[in-house]
Amino acid sequence: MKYETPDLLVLGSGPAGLAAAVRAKEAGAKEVVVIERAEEPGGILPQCIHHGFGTTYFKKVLTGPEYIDSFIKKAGDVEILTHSMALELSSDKTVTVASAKEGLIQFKPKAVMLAMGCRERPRGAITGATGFLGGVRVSGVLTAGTTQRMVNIEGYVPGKHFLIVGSGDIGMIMARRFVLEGAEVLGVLDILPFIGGLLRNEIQCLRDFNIPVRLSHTVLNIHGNKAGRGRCEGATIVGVDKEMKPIPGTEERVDCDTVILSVGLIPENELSRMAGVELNPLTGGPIVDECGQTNIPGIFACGNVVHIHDIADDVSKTSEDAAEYAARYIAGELTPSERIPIKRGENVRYVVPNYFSKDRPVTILLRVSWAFNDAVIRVGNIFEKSYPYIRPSEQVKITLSPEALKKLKDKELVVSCEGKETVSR
Amino acid sequence: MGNLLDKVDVLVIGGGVNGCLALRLLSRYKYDVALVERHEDTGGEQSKANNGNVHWHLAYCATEVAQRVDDAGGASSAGTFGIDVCSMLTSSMQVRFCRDLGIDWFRSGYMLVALNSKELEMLKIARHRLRCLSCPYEFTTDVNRIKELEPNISDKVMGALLLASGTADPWDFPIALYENARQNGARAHFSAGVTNITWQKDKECFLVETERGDIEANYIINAAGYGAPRLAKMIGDELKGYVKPTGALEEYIVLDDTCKGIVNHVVRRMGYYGKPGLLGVQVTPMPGGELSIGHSYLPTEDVDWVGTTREGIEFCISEGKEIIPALPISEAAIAVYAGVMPAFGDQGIYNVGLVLARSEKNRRFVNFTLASFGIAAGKGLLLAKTLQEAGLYLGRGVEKDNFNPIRPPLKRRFAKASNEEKDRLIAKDSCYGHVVCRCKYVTEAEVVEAIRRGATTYDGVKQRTGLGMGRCQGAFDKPRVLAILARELGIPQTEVTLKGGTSVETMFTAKELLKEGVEIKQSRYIEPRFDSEELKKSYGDLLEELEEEEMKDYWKLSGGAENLEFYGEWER
Repeated sequence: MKYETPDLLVLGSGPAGLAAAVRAKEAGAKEVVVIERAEEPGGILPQCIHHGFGTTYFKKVLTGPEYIDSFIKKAGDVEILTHSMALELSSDKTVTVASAKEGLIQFKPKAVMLAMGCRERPRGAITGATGFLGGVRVSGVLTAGTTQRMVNIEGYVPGKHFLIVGSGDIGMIMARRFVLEGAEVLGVLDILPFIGGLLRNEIQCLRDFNIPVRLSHTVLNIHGNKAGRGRCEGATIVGVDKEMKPIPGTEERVDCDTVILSVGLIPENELSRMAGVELNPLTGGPIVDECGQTNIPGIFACGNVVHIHDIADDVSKTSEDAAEYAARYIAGELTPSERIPIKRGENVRYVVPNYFSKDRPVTILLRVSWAFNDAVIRVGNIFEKSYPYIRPSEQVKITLSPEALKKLKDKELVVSCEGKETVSR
Repeated sequence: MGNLLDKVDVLVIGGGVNGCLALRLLSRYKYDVALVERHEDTGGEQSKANNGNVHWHLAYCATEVAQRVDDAGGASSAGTFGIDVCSMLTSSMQVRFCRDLGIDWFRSGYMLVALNSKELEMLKIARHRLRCLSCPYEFTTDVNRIKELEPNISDKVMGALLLASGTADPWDFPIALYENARQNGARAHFSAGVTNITWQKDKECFLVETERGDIEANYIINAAGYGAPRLAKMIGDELKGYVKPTGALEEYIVLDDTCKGIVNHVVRRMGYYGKPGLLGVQVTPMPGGELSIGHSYLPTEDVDWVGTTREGIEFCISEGKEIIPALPISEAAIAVYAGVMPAFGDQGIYNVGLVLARSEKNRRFVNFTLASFGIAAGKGLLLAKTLQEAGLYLGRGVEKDNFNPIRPPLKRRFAKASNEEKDRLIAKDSCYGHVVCRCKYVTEAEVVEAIRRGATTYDGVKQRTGLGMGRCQGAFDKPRVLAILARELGIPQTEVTLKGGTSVETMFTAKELLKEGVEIKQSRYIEPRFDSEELKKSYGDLLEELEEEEMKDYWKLSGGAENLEFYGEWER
């Protein structure tokens, strides 16, 4: 067994981990090691062959692989260990890693950066008001991200006639990809009365490719070989009401051989839990302050492991901010956060970070809880902005300077949204 | 007559837990034995979709149902077997059995609870039966004591009956038994459903026609689950007491391993549903840390439909919450599954599959469909007895000298290993450093070993290694597993299936659909491998590798229960 003591250990080499590693090095951390469980670095980006990356970070239009390649090239003497998986993280920052090349390694870094990203919600975890997805357990029921890897990296198309459940970004992007591969996409469903992903994907993936959309619909049952020893043959879909309960009489059978589930991303915090990092039930990720630090000193977190971001550019930028603070922590120069609470107010689903200080800038990311027209986002008494149209899938980013923060009158910062519901709840 | 696929002394038909148990039992002796199974792998039907109770029959025997079966004359001599044979012996046998076979079993204890006064009465009847069996137990109506054992139990609890029992992943049993039988020379033919059986008077043996060829056998063990009546009919045996195959759809829901510790024992609600004798829903801590809640009960004539229903799952959830109110369903649910428990008989009695006897039509044809008595090791004893009655000598003279009862375990091998052991594994084979299942830490080396032990499908790999059962439910591992299967079996990935039949996962290659005239490929037979180096090791070597656990603490229950009295009861 090997023992290593780098300055910073980064868990994950995606757009969060790599950006953080590179910036930490630039900010003065001497030895930076990145742990990656897959065969190659990049996290999820190698399979995101669509463009739309880098628009704000590089001011270019790049594909996922091109975007992450820029960071890999900047990595310099940051050590990236592939085929290496963190097995344990303890509250004293000891990390046990199983590495194909090196065997077992126990790291005791000065600081840890959690950048493990997220996973997809599987079929069995769909627990909403419509209840569980019933029916037989045949082949051909897959989550969108899994099929993205299958198509884009391994060169396999799961089926020929697709039904896509969930209008999140990955579902919409894969809908377009399946059409480009010659398959038929029968439709995209969403249980809510509005699209679950970015507007630009709605246009570039669904409208441009004439893919039918059925809002306020969901799937009830999967059909196929009775014992499950066969392929999917169809699904029963149904309309839902305001409480998202099935409307009797609206059931419809759709013949398809593949049902793609794009029903949510969940931050992956097994290791965080192991270490006793406090998690936020609203996001599924660690509670962090304006430095990206968790409740355990020296354990920082960035990227989708904290909360699901919309855009890789935002992931990289906020990860770099956290890395700067991590470097300061390593040098013994990080003054603790004042931990003034940031709370979600009316019509806001969640806000990150959870704490701030008045003497450091803070970048707030939030999601509203419904779709609104003529919306106004308010941050305490210190910031206000209008949006003609806003919805949960379009994350809002607000950066506040210390000057602005010092004007806060209350003991906590409440972020709220006011507007006209596009569809009543 | 087709080609001769095999010629054996004893042919076992059906590769579920019963068939594999029979195969392993027979592999101790110097007979030529083989298994035929209609699917591509063992344990594919009810054997993998049940509560995973080992030794559960102790409580089952102690219920009204057992009494009614006895009253009705049972279906054979097996009707009372559990009561005679299994009470004490199998408890210690069970530990040894699972250790030898490398089955991930743990002593979860088995707690029956009563949540109302009617159930408390039934609990007392059960306790009386256990007393008659000289079976150790703890019975208490002290709510504080019950909460000490199970802190999260409902406040409504009125009584609890605690037994020394255990639990395991149900699919481990057919797999482990099959592999050990193969280690000892037994053969197997998969994707070989039986189409006809005839008795050849001149050769004094059976001719068994299957989808892949014919087999000649001197003895047949009919372990085909609810397919057994169809096979028995082929030799003119109407299986007395069996009227029509019906079944009950039983559904389960699984919560992820953040739920480890919510219950300390298997906790089952005493019979209710308004139907006496039907036990309630059970909350089961699984060896991997997950929690399963099940099962629902929906009588059905369509015994082939194995899916889940909204109502069934909601039933499991609401009943589970009756027992353990704090179950975090929406936060932790990851999977649902179902099985069909075959029921034979016209009395609507739940789970009366009780046959273990030679056929009256041909004494060399043994029906072995003993169902729903848990995965009890004790069945093997009675099977041996029945085979002897059928004329097959199973004694010293025909025992193999080199019988090896030890099957090296595979499930979650890397995840369970100590850090030093993990280091050794990676040094031995760097594929132990290639994580395939990130939720359960299963590596490529284990996937390859599973394929070398006979897996030809994703589910086959999943059941042997424990992958795909965590929070992401295969989203990460599936593409990798499909690729490894294709590579190790030498087939295109477009032919790799989820669970046999036509359940291919990746149907087409990239851009194939853009060409003219794409055909959907037909599924074809894939020969399972059985060339694991580990399974070639001798008994001596494997015994050294197997740690000897102390047997003396096998009465201890998890949750801090004191040792139980052997012959008495201990009441508070």
